[in-house]
Amino acid sequence: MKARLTLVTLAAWLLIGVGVKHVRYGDASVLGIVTAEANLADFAQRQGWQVAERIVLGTDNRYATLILKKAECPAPLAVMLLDSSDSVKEIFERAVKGDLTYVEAGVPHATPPMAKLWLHNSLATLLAPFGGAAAFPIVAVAPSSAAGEGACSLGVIGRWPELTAVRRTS
Amino acid sequence: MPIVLTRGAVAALLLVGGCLNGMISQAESNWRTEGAVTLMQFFGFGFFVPFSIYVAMKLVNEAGDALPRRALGLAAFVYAGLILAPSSLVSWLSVAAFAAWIAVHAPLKPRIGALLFLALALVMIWTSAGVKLFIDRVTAFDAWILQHMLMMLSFDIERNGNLVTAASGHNVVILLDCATLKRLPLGLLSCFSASLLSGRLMPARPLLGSLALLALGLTALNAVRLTLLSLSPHAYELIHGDIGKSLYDAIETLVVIWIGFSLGESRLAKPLPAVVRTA
Repeated sequence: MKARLTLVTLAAWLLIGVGVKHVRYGDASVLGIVTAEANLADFAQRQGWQVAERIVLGTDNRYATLILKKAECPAPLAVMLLDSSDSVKEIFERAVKGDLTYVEAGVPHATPPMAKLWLHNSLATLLAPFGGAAAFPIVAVAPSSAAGEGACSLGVIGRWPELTAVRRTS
Repeated sequence: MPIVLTRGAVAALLLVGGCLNGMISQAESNWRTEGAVTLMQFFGFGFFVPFSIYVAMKLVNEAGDALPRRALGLAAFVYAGLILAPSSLVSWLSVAAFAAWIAVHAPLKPRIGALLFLALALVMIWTSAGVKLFIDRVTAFDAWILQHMLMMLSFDIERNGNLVTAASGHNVVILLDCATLKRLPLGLLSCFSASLLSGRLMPARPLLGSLALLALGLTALNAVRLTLLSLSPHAYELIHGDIGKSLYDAIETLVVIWIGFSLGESRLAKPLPAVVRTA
């Protein structure tokens, strides 16, 4: 009797645990990078930029580059979200011939601050179930001048944290 | 028919449940991107994860009632509560902590099972989070090997970080999922698990030597695969596609499990002492 009760309790515990995680991970929007990309595209469109092309590497939308165009600006912008992985940054750097800026939490950097990002995102992942901090992917922008102010830039860099803040998935 | 449930069995079931909870994040992600099952993958987990869990569970179950009753109850209560948090990473950390607690309190045979659970949890934490801290070096390592393999075939090869470019203009970028240092720990753990199935344990030095040789072999196997898929876009499609991937997983699995079984059957391996039942 006691053994049966233990088994039933264990089965219920397992179902609740798996169910709670299914609720959290089952929603595709928790794929942080996808949400961040949608937010960024929406923000760019409100600044008058149109998404001319979306280049995807891989099958799960993790490595998407947005090519943005604006009628009055001669050169298109390229934006890529790196999440906590920078294993595709060489491709982006090569495609834009090295003229790019990395923006993390609204702050521009010449090279992506991956260790800081890893620490921040790992903490956000751990604290997420307890209402913890949001995480920010790194945004690679080309040309580098596009990260600043001006009619042909993406503008208001200080607002980027709220645009790219995402929940963590693992 | 009465069911007999020892403390060892409860601990083993709790650890298996914790592992299943830890696997949800990756399983959901894989479900969305690649579907549930291919030939050698089950929700994104190859053969190695369920196999290691099975061997570890078998060994922890051997504890019988040798674990201290009250302390186990308290540790299990805290652990079971933590597992309910909606985070797979928290689940793996909890499995690691609970397995470490069992390893301290259990006799030799179940202790090895608990250490297997601990190692599995650490490997899963490494593959899902830890490896990203070293992502540049981890992916550049395979790109460096690939560059030298292709140079042996006398191609004009250029490498920039994890991006390898042949003179023909065919680019190959090494991403984390293909990196040797991400895949290797699980292979080594499964080999060790397979060696334990015979109920025997190799002495530390020959065991570590064998695992080091296996690590070299698996690195070479991945290097050959990367070299072949770098030869042309057509070769890439073939080797990186479903059939090529399943074939590679099958070869890797067979090599790892066969070496593991051989180690367990080796003359150097000594039988693990049975747990003395006191009740």
